[in-house]
Amino acid sequence: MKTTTILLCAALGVGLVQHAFGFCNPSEGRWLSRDPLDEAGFELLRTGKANLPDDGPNHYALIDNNPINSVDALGLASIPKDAEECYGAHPLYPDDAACDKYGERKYARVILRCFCKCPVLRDPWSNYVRGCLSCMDDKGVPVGDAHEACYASADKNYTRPTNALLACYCQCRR
Amino acid sequence: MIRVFLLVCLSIGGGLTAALTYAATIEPDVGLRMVTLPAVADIAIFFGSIAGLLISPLMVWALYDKKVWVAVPVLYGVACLVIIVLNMLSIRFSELIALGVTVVALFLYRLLGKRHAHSGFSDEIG
Repeated sequence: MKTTTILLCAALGVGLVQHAFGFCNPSEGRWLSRDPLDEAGFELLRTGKANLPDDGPNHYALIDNNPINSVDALGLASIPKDAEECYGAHPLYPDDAACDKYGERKYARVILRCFCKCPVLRDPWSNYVRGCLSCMDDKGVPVGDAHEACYASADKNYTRPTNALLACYCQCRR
Repeated sequence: MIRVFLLVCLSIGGGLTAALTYAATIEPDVGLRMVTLPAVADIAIFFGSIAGLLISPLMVWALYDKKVWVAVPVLYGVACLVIIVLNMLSIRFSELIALGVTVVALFLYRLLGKRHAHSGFSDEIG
C-alpha cells in the first residue's frame, strides 16, 4: 500500500497517469510499464486462463495507438469505446431473428448466419457470445476482434462447449 | 514396429502442421493471429489429428521402406504450400484438395522414391 502511494505521487509529479495495472504517459501515448496481460504469472493470479483479449505482441503499446476511438480502463485490453458495453449485452438464442442480419457474410470460411443459428449451441456460453458478437457487429467492430474479445470474455464466466463448436464449424463450413 | 509407430506419429504431426497452416492463412485480414484466437487452435488440432490418423495407413504403406527424413519434409512442404496458395486464391475446400495432393504424392513416392539403404524392413529409422 505504501509503495503504491509513493509510486502514484511520483507519477503525478512528472505528469504520468496511473491506471490500475500500469503507468501511462499521455504525451507519448505509451505505457511505461509492461502490459501484464499475457504474462503467465499475472494470468494465473487473475483468472487462471491465458487467452484474454490483449493489445497484441507489443506490451508497451497503448490501445492500438488509437486513443480517440478506443478505451483501456484497466490498462489491459483495448476495444472501441462504444463496444465496451457489449460485454453486458443481452444473450441471444439460436432461433433469434437477429442472426439474419449477417446475410451471407463469411469469417474463416464459415457462414456467420448459419453459425449464429446453429441449433446445438444453446448453452450459456454460446448465448452470451452470440449476444456479444451481435452487439459488436452493430458497432462495426471487425469480426476477428469481436471473436477474440467475446470468446475470451465468455471463457471467464462459462464453460466453452468445444464439441458443439466443432459440430457447428462442420455444419456451416463453405 | 518402431518404424510404423514413427510414421503414424509423423502422419499426425503432418496433419497438425497442415491444419495450423490452414488456420493461419484462412482469413487474410486476421493473418497469423488467427491461430491464437480462442477456439481456433482447438478446432485445428482436432481436425489435424483426424486427418493425420486417416492418412497414416497410406503413409506407412508408402514410406515403410523409404528414406523418411527425405520424404516427410517434402510431403509436409507440398501440403502446406498447396494450402497457402489455395487459401490466397480463396479456393473452397483447400484443405481437402491439399489432402488429395498429399495422397497422390504418397502414391508417387511409393512408386518412384528411393528405398531405404537397409532394405527398409528393419526397425531402423532413416
